[in-house]
Amino acid sequence: MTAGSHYDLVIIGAGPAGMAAGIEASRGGLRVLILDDQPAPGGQVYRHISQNAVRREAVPYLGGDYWSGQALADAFAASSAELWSESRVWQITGDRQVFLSRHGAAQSVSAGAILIATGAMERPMPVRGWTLPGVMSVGAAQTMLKTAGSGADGAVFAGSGPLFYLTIWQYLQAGFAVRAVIDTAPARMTLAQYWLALPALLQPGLLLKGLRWRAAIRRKTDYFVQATSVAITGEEQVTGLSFTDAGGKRQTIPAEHLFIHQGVVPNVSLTMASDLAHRWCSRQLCWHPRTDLFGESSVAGIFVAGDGMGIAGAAAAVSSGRLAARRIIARARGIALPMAPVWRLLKWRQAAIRPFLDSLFRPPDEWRVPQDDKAIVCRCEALTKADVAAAIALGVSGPNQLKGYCRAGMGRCQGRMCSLTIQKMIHDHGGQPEDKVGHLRIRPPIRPLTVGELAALANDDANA
Amino acid sequence: MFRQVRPQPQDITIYIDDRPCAARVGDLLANILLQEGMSAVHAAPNGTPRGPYCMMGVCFDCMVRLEDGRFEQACQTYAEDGLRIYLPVSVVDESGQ
Repeated sequence: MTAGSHYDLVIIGAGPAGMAAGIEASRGGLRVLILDDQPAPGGQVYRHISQNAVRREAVPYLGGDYWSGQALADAFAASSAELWSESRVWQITGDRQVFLSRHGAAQSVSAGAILIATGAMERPMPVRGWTLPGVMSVGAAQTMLKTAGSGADGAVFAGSGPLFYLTIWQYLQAGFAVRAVIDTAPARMTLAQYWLALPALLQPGLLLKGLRWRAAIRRKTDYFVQATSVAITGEEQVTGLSFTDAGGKRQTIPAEHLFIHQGVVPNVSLTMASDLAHRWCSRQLCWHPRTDLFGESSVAGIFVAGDGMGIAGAAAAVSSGRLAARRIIARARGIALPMAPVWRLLKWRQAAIRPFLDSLFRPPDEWRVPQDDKAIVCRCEALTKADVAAAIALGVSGPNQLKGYCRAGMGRCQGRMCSLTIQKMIHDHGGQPEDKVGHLRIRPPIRPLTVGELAALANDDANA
Repeated sequence: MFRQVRPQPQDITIYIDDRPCAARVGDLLANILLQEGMSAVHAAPNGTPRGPYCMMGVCFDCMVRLEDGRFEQACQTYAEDGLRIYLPVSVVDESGQ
């Protein structure tokens, strides 16, 4: 590989959106490179799918939705799109240079167009005790199932959301004992939610699946609903959690392994670091890159697809990846892409259930900003709510100034685990709208990079 | 303790703090650590223990030290024969990065 390799399209992320775009664009005659940080394509949703496919009978518990990714992975493998696995992209520039590290050396490629398909991550959940060893996210529990068929008997699950129910169901299917499930969503639907449920009826399969998962969980676990004031206990290691149940009674449940979840949000590290414009989505309580119908961002030639542009699920991610690829092909050929209204309708149809889910599983305020002053807000710097609140009270103008006051958001995760919390705390303190408070400024490199890795890039430049 | 539903044959040895541990090529280090019962691998700046949390490279709480001194996320690093990792148990260790 020499510096300056050029591709018509460079895709970042080989999940459903990235794979679909790669298939479509290579069929359309483009020279396509796809970069992914894992050893094999699939993204988080279809993680480890090609490795699991060869021993499918050994992992029956992952369910049909997971296996639906196999056809996509197969089509992707058969396409002419070039895949660089184990590649960590750490910067994109406006002139469409992509910088990455692979096998310990940094390098760059240039692109006619870039598609960012870096997906979603779980929302930060800053409740008291969430940093204790033994506490992990529900997404982590699912990743362990997918990558190793690994799970913990007697685990407790607390939180809510579609992934919450799916993962517990998969845990039960795999034969792990689940000690208790503590749902933090309000138990009764509001009138507004009944209205939102009407378009959701267009996706009855998804609704029924959710009901089926919940029925199984109710049958096989100690199931609590409407839990509030959740606190995780333990000194060096999680020992359990306590919460107030629907009847107002304080409950305590011992747990050696606790999995928590409050939904997913777009992983905006790369889109933010690339200076794309974003908008605050008050329905999903997260930032979305601003794009047109086809996923083109505020920077010409840089597109976004999949859950990274707003949470809509794997099927919608496939469509958005395909749509972005068609636009990029059409532009390369100098033709217009017809049928915009059809795409718009399809997009709405595929996400018809979303407003309902977003409302039903909206994270409670106590999971967005901790009730307890001693709860950690910034994990990397080990700053509590009280630490951050004290700095905010000094009169910070925004999250970036807060960094200078108390180092919140300056650790290795670069604010991935605290930016949404900090933003809400500043909003709560000063009353500024959340979109005005803004996200922590994300700067490249978005992944830790050693000087040794960078040196490889300098050599490439010298030889170019 | 984490266990595998259907364990696959282990064909390699890795070393965790110089202690040999049977594994399989391509296993995620974080999975191995958790199956060994090690949920605390790293320490926050205030000295409190941390361990794998997100399993997808986001939280950086599963940092382990490799033989060459580099720190890597255990949830993003895969096992190969003879790999040696060290658990950075205190912030003092990490200042050597």
